[in-house]
Amino acid sequence: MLRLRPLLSSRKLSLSLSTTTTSSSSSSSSSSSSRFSNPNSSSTLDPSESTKFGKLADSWYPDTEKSKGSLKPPETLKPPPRNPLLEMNPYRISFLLSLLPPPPYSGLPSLDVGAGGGIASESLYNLGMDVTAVEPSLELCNLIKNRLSKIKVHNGPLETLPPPPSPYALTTVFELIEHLPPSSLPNFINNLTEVTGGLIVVSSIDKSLNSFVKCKLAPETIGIVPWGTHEYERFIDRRDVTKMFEEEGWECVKCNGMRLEGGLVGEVKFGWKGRGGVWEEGESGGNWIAGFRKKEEM
Amino acid sequence: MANKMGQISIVGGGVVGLTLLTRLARLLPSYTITLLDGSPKSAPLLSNSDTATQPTIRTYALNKASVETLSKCGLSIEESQRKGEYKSMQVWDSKTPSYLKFDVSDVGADTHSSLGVIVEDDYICGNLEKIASNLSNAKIVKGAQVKKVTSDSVSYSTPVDKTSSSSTSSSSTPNSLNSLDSDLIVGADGFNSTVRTSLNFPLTKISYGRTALISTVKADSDETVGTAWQRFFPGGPLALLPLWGGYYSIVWSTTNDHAEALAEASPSDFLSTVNECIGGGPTPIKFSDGSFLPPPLKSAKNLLDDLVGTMVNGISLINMNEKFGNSKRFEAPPMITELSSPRFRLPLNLQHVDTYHSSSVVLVGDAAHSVHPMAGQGLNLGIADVECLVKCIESSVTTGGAVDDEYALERYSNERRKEVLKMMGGIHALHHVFKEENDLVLTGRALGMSLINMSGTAKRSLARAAMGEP
Repeated sequence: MLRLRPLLSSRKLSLSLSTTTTSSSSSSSSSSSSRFSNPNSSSTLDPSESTKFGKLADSWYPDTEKSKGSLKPPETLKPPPRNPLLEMNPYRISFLLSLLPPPPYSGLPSLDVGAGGGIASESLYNLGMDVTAVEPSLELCNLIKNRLSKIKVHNGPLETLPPPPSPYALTTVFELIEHLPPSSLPNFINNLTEVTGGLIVVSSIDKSLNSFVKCKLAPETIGIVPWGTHEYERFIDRRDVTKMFEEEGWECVKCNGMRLEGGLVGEVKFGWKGRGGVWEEGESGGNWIAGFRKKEEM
Repeated sequence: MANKMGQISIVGGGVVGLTLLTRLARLLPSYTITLLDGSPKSAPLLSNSDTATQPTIRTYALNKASVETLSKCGLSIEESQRKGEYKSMQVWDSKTPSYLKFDVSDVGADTHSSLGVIVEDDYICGNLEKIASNLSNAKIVKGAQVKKVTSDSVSYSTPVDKTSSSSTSSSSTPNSLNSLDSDLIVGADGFNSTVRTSLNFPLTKISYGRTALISTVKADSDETVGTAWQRFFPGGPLALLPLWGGYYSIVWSTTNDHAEALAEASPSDFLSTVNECIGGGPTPIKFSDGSFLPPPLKSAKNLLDDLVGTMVNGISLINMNEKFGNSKRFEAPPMITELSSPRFRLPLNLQHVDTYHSSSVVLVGDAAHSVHPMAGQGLNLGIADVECLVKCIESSVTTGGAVDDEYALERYSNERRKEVLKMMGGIHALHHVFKEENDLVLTGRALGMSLINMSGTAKRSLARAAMGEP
């Protein structure tokens, strides 16, 4: 399969990392003016992305309750377009559960970075965990608060999160890093490793021709996701992310590709519905999910 | 006619059952025709000239053939003043600018005085029951609960005659079980027919997922406008049918949730929704936005949408100008001011039995077929069933055959299945045409309606099909 050269080569990454890690190691866990060690690095927030997703807040969840009881005749009988993230979520959760000790998880402190509409947060909350959701878009934060009043929601990028009393046992970063400015990725991963004491699970999209067609061209052209949701430039290979974590002293304990089996995601807009697919381990989609833990001191 | 004695049982006391009762009683004076009606009360007897009493809730649209059949029974609809007559019919929808307007002049004003009549169920049933009571061989059993139906007999129970009307405990009243050995059993007991299910007639049933909300309303004047209006929404049509004295009948076939909301709303909310919806005129066509398309394709789609939209809106404007072709002016319905009856709901299904007869049992009316009410043909099909069955039985009996002659019943079944399937297919196709919202169907529908509206020939054939004429 033809694989395009990623924009950021691994060697450039390690060069930039080496300059930042030297400064951070000197002020590791002492209190500083800002919670995270690199206050002057590029912010992990791209404001255009957060406004773009904020606009989709109303259609994040298929809302069938709204029109019930209304006296006006229904404007349209077409069901609202389904968010493909809802279809992906079960596999992501089952992946991270395979890396955690067996249930119960009541009170397990967990952090959902880039929570969006709270799909993963809701699943973790239903499993009993004590979830904190981080989301820079205000509309999406309100959506999460309306649906799940019991979880803590922080409106803002990760670096503005106030320090937790103890590190989180689980951090999930689902479908987020392909929307961050690439130069801020090392800083972002650094921030993740500083707040987490247990497992970090990252899911994103590979950068290859396969993923360009399957995750960018096809869904956006036929209307499964709105046009402009993804940018190919920001897709990131799982090996590059693993390298970034290894610079922080974290290792990848498990990494799987994700693919949709049977049925098409959502409703194809020519009037033909294909639904009911199942996400499972597989390579051809370009999506991947990986779990990272701190390397054991020998 | 033959002097052979026998027994015919009809199950179901609606219009179809009563029509069949009177026709068969006249045709076969030596037979005893018994009609078993589940409802304990008789329909009120409403006089022809009584226009003061408010219209009762259940009404039907009758075509010319049905009116003729009823006059053969002895009930003259033409002389009655208790009916709604419409001379024109207007059909439009909520998503396109086109409309369709028929008039009596389209089918020949000299031969027809109206396109159709709307008559109450109570009026027809009450008068037919009275006519049947004057026929010595016709018997009506009220409150008969059919327990068992076989191909030779019907078993039913009736509550024992209550002499004191003050007693209200019905659970302790013993029922009497009767059995009628019949030469012919007719199932005229509606869409949930017991006769059909007892004998396991194979049934094809497709649920429309819609409910028809029916009610009688009054407009702001005491004169009823002689036009039938029907506006299609994505869920289904809202029909305003004229009665008399300023009264109209509303039949709104819509999604189950919406019908429930309408039925539970306050009368003023309900009426304002009805006025808002039926009062809306043709709206410029709106295509789906291409926001899911990439920008270059999106601008192409927008351009195409503008061109096609302009053409469709333009043709509709031409249509509204009466100078071109045979189009008539768009008429706005009156303002509805009063809800005059409770709101009644019916589930809508497409049903059809595979065969209308099985040994000595035959099905007529809604027991055999159920169509969407949007074309007002349900009862017309049922009454035509009765006419055909009587004709087939007559042809058998006059030539010395039996009442339940196998060939006669099969001829009935074949002929009616053919006609009913034609009508059912047409109505089901219309349901789909007005349900779809995608751009191609909207364009086709808008252009089609406008062009048909401008063509006298097309309108004549459509109107004649709706009126049941060849």
